[in-house]
Amino acid sequence: MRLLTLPTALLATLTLTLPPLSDAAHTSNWAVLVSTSRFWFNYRHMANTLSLYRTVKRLGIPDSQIILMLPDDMACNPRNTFAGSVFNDKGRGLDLYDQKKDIESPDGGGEGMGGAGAEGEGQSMPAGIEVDYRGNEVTVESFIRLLTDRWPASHPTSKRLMTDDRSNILIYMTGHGGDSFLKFQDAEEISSHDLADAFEQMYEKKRYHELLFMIDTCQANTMYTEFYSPGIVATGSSEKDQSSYSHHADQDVGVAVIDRWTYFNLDFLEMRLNSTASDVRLGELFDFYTFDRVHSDAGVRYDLFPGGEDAARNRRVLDFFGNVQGVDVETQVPGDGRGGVGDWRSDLEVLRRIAARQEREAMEDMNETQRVGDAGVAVGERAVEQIIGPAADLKGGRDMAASAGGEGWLKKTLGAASLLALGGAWFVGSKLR
Amino acid sequence: MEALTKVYRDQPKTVLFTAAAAIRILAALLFPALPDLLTLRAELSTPVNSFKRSETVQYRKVYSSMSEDSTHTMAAYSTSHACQAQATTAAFAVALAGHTSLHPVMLLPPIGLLCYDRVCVQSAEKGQTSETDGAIADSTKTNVAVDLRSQPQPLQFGLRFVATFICAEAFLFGFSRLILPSWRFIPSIYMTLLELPDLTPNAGLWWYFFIEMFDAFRSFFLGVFWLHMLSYSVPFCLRFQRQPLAAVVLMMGIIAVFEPYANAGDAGAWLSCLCLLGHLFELTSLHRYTFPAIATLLYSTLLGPAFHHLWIYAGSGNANFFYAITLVWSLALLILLTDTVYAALRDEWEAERPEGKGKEIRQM
Amino acid sequence: MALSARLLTLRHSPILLQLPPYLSALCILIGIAWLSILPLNEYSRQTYVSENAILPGQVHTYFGGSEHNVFRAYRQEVYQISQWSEEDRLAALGNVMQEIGLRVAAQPYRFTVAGEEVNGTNVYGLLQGPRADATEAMVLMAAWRNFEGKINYSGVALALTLARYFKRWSIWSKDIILLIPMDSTYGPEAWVSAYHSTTSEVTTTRNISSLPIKAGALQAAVALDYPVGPWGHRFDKLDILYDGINGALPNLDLLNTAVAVASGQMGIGCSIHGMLSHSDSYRDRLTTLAKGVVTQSAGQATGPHSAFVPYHVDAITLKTVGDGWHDEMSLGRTTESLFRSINNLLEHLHQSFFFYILLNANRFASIGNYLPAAMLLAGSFTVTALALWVQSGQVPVEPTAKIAGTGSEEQEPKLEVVKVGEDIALVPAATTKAAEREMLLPTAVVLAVHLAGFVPLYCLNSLHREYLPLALQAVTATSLILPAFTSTALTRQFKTSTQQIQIMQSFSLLLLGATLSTLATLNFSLAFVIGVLASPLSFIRPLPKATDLPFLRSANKQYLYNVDVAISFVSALLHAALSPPVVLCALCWYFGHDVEGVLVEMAKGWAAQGVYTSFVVWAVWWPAWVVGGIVMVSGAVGGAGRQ
Repeated sequence: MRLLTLPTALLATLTLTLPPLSDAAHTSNWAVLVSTSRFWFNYRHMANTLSLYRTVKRLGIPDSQIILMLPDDMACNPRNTFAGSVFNDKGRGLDLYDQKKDIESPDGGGEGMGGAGAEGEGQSMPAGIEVDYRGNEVTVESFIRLLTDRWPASHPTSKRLMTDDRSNILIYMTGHGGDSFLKFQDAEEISSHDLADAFEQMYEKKRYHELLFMIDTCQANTMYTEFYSPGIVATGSSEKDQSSYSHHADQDVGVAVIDRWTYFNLDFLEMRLNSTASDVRLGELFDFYTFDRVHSDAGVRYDLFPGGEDAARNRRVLDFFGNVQGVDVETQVPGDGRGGVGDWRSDLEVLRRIAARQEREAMEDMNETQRVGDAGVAVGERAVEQIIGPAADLKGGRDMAASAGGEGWLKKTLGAASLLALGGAWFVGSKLR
Repeated sequence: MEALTKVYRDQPKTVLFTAAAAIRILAALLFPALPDLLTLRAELSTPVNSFKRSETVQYRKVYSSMSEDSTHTMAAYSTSHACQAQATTAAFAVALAGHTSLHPVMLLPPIGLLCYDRVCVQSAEKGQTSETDGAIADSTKTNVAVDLRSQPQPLQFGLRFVATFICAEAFLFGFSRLILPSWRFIPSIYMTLLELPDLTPNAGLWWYFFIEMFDAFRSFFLGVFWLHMLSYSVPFCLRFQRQPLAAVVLMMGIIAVFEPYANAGDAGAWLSCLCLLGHLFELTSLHRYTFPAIATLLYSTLLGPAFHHLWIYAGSGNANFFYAITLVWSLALLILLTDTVYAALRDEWEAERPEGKGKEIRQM
Repeated sequence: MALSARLLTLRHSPILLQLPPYLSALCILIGIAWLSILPLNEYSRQTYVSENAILPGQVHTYFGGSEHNVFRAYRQEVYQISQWSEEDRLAALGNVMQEIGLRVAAQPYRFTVAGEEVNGTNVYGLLQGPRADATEAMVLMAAWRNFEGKINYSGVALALTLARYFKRWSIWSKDIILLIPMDSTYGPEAWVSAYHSTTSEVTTTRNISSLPIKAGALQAAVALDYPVGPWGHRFDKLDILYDGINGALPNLDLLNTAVAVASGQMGIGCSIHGMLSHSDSYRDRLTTLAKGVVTQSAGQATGPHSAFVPYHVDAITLKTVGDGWHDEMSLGRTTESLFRSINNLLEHLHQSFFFYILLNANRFASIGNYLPAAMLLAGSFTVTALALWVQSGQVPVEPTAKIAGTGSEEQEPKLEVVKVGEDIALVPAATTKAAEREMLLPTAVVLAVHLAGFVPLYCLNSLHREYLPLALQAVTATSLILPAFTSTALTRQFKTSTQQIQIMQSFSLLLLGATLSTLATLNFSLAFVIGVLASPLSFIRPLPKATDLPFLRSANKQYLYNVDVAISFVSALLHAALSPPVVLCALCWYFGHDVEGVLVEMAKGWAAQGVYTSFVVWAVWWPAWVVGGIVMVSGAVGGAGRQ
C-alpha cells in the first residue's frame, strides 16, 4: 500500500522542495484589465479600465500583452452626448477611445488623467484600443479560463494570457461588488475563493513570477483575503462594509466618469511615472491612498510576497505597470504549463498536484491522498469529455402536427370512432364480470 | 311565489340541480367567449388540460372529448362501479382516467379495496339471504358472523383486479397507437407530467419550487415530489380498510393538492366528491375547522386572480404574491383534507364506542 | 395538537361567543386610527430614488436663450389657432409638428357616454431617436384643454418648443412621442388604448381608430398643464398629479425623479394634491393623506396622465400652480432634465414602490405600513361572519323540535336501530341531524341580492345623462324598500328561521370581507372607504321585539307596540342613512359637487375608462347593505319563524 502511494508522495515532496522562485528580474510584463459591469450608469467602470489601459500602454506594455475585458461599449451608447468618445474627466481633455486626438493636441490633456502620456512614449503608441473580450464574452468562466489558460486549441493566441514563471502580471478589476464577491454583468459573480483558487492554479502552472492585484469596487479588500498563493501583492479600494465612491460626474455626459481610488492611482502614475526609467516604488503608490483622497480605507496585502512587506514596497511600480524586454534562454521546467497549451493532461497534472498537496496539508494519511488524487483525475477526465446530447428526434413531432392539424371533420370522425370503440370496450368490460 | 315555495320545500335538490344546469347552459349561451377567457386563466388552465398549449398536448387533440373533465368523470365512474362491486369496469375506468393523465393510477389501490369490500359484502349478503331467508334484508350494516371461507380471497381478487387494469391499459395503448401515427404520444402525455417542462404559474405547489430549483437537483426533487404523492395511496388503504370509500376520496384530495399541474377544476371535483362522505360533515363541522377552511378558500379564490393581475398585467406585484396565495389555497384544501381524515377516524371510533360521541378529545 | 384542541374547546365557551362584536369594533377602531398615525415620522419615510439608472438632475440643461423666442412664437401661434375651427386647428398643429421634423399622424375617436356622443381627434408626432433602436418610447403630452377645460396655450406651446429642441439632440435611447389630445380624458384614453391594442375593433361604447404610427414600448409619459395665454404668467409651484384610473399609481421613482429635478436642480417647489402651502406639519400631512385617499378611492381620472397608468406606463402631469417667479423656461428645463433621466432608463421602472400614500412631495407611507388598516376593516367583517356561523350551528341545541317537520320520519327508525345493535357505524347521523344548517335558502338570497346589484349598476351607467338623477332617486327609493319587502316575504313565505338569517348574514359579511381584502390589494383607498362606510353592517342583528326585552315584561300591550315602532323607526332611519345612494348624495353635498355631474363622471369612467368604483358600490357594498337590512327587519316582522 505504502509502495503504491510512494510516487505521489515523492511528487508532492518535490513540488514543495522546489527552490523558492528566484528574486531574479522578470522577463515580461502582462496586464489583465477587467471591467465587469454593463449599462450606461456604469460609464465610470469603463472609463476606469480604459484609463488604466492607456497608462500601462503608455508605460510600455504592448497591446499584445494587455488583455482588456469590457462588457459594454459606452462610446456607442445612444445616451452618450459625445458619440464615439469616452472621457475620464469632466474637462474632457482626453478621449480614452481615440488616442489620435490626444497626439494632435498635446496640451489638451491638462486636466485629463493620462494626458502626460502624450509627451512620453505616447507618440509612438499605436492609436485606438484593442478590446480582447467584449460584451457577453466577459464572464466569470472566461476570466478564470484566461487566468488558468484552459482553452480549446482553437482559441486565438491574442486572447490568451501567455505568461510563464518569469512574467509579472498586473490584474486590475472594477465593477460592483460586495463582501467577498464581484458581480459580473448583473448575471453572475466571482467570489474571493474562486479568485484565490485560480491564482493558486496559476502558481502551480508557473504562470507568473509576481502578481499585482488591484481592485476598485465596494468592499474591495474582501476580495483578496482568501489568496494563499505566493508572489502576490494585492490592493483594494475599500474595507469590508465600506463603499467605494465615484470621483466626479460630468454634467454634460450626465454620469459619473471615474472612481476615486482609480482616479488617485492614475493621478500618482501620471505625476510620478513620466518615463519608463522612473524609479518609483510600490510603497509610494500605496501610501498615496489616503482616506482624504479615496474617502474609504484602501488596503494592501503583503504577506504572500516573498520577503514580505519590505520587499513588496520596494518593488518598482514599473515592474508591474511598465514593460521589460528581457530575453530568457529556454530553461524547460518540468510540468511547464506552456509546454502543452490546451493540453488538458497537463492541467490535470497540476490539478492533481494541488489536490494532493492540499490533502497532504490537511491530514497525514497517505492512503487518503492516493484516493483523492485519483478522484481528481477521474473528475477532470469526465469534465473534459464533451457531452453531445442526442439530437432530438423531431420527425415524429412533425408527423403528429400534420395529422393533428388535418381537416376538422376527419378529426371529429376519428374522435367519435374512438369514443365509440371505448364505449364498446366499456360495455364488454361490464359484461365480463 | 306559492308554487316556488312549494317546490323549494318539497324538492330542494331538484331546485338546486335545475338551477345549476340552467346557469351552466345560460353561461354557455350568453357568453360564447367564456371558454377562451377561461383557458387564459392561470388557475384553471394547465398544459395537461388546455388545448391551447398545443405543443405538449397535441396528441390529446385526437381525444377531442377527453379533457380534464373526463378524467374526473372516469374517476367518479370508477368509484361508482366499485361501489357496485363491478371490478372489471372499475379497473377499466381507472385505466381510462390514468390513460389521459397519470395520477389517477394512484387511485387504483383504494378503488381496488373499495371494490373488494363491496364484493365481500355482496357475497355475505348472498350467503345470508339464502340462510335466513331475508330476515335482515336491510342491506349492509349488521354485525352477523360471516363465513370467511365463503369470502373471495383478497390476494386472488387483487391480482385479478390489477390484471384487469393492466389489460385495459394495454388495450388503451394499443387503441391509441391505432389511431395515432406513432408511439410518441406516450412521452408527450406522461413525460409532461413526470418532468414538469412547463413552469407556467398555476394553482399548484410545483411551479414556483421548480423555478427556484438549481438544475442539478431538479430530477431528485421531481422524484421526491412524485414519491410524496405516491406515498399516501397505500397507507390510506391500510388505515381506512373499513371505509374504503373514504380512502378513495382522500386520495383524490391528495392528488388535487399535490399534482404537478394543479388547477381549480381538480380541487372543485374533489370538493364535489367530498359529498360522498356526507355522513362525516357533521363530525367535521363539530370538531374541526371546516368553516374557516372554506372561508380561506373563498379568500384565496378572490385574491389569487387579483395577485395574478398585479403580477402579470399591472406589473406592480411579483411572483411571490401569487405563489403565497397558491400556498394559502393549498393549505385550505389540506385543512379540509385533514379534517376529513379526522372525521373518518373519529367516525370509526365512535362506532366502536358510542359513549364517546360528541365529546372533545384530549391528547394524553 | 394540544393548541388546536384547546382552540376547539374555546369554541364552546360562552365568553368567546360574546367577544366577536367587541373584537370587530376593535378592528374597525384600530383600522381607522391606523391611518391617523401614518403621518408621524416613525411610520412614514423620506422618498428616495432607488433606480440606479435614472440619475436625476445629473445633467446640464441647455433649454433657454433662443428657445425662449421660439416658445413665444409658438404660444402666439397656438393662441391664434385656438380661434379657428377644429379642423383647421388640427391641420395647423400637424403642420407645426411636420416643420419640426416629426412624423405626424392623427387619430379620431368617438365615445358614447351617458347617452351622449363624444368626438375628438388626437394629433401626435413621433421623434425617432437618431441612435435609438426603436424598441422603447416616451411620451410628452400636452392636452389642448386641461382637466378643468381651459385651453392649455402655454402647455401646448412648450411641448412643441421642447419637441423642436429635442429634435436637435442625438442622445435619445428611446423615441419621443409628442401627443396633443383634444381633451384630458377621452383623448389620452383613446390614444393609449389604441397604442396597446392589436386590433382596431370597434366596441359598442367606443370607436377608437387604430394608430397609423406606433413606436416601441412606452416607458413613461409626462403631461404638461400650463393654461396661460400669450400674456404669460409666472407660477409658484409645480403640482404633480399622479393618480391613475382605479387608484393605480405610477412607480414612485418617476415621482421622485420629477421632484428631485424640479426642486433639487431647478429650485421649483413641488406640491401634491394642490396643497400649495404645506408646512410638513402633522395636520398638513394628514390632509394630504386624506386627499390622496379620497382621490384614489374615486378611481376617476385626475389628469391626462391617468389613462396611461393602467397600461403599465408610468405617467404624471406637471401642473403649474400659484403666483411666483418661475417661468415657462424653468418648466421647460425641468421637463428636459426629466426626459434625460427617463432616457437613462434601461428597463421599465420597477425598483421603487407602486403602492404608496404620499404625505408630502418627499414623504410617503409604503404599502406595508398602510395596508393593515384596510385589512383590519375587512377582517372585522370576517370575524363577525365566523361568530355568526358558530352561533348558527348552536341554535338547534335548545329547540330540537323546530325543524321537526322535515326530520321526524327519519329520526324514529334510526333511534330504533340504536336500541337493537349499538355497534353500527351510521348511528350518530340520525341524532344530530337537527343541528345541520339550512344553507340553501340563505345562499340563494345572498346570491340573488348580489345579482340584483347589477340593476342599479346598469341603470346608472347606461341611461342618458338627463335621466341619471331620476334613476338615482328610483334606486334610492327601491333600495330603501327592498330590505323590508324581501324580509317580510322571506319570513312569511319561506318561514326563515333565526339560524337561516344568521347564516345569510354570515355569508354576506364573509363575502364582503373577502372582496374588500382583495380590493385592498388593488385599490387600497376604495377598500378602506367602503370598509368604513359598511362597518356598521357587522353590528346589525334582527330587531328585538319589545316583548323579548326583559325590563319591559310588565308593560302593557299598547306601550309595547309603541316601543316596537320606535325601535323600528330609529333603526330604519340609521340603516337608511348608511345606504349607498344616500351616502353618495351626502358625499356630493359635502364636497360641493352637483349630483348629476358626479353621476355623469362615474358613467364616463365606467364606459370610457373602465373605472370599477361603481361596480364595487353596487355589486359589493349595496348587496351587503341590503342583506343587512333584511336581517334587521326580519326581527321586527318575523314572529312566525322564531316562535
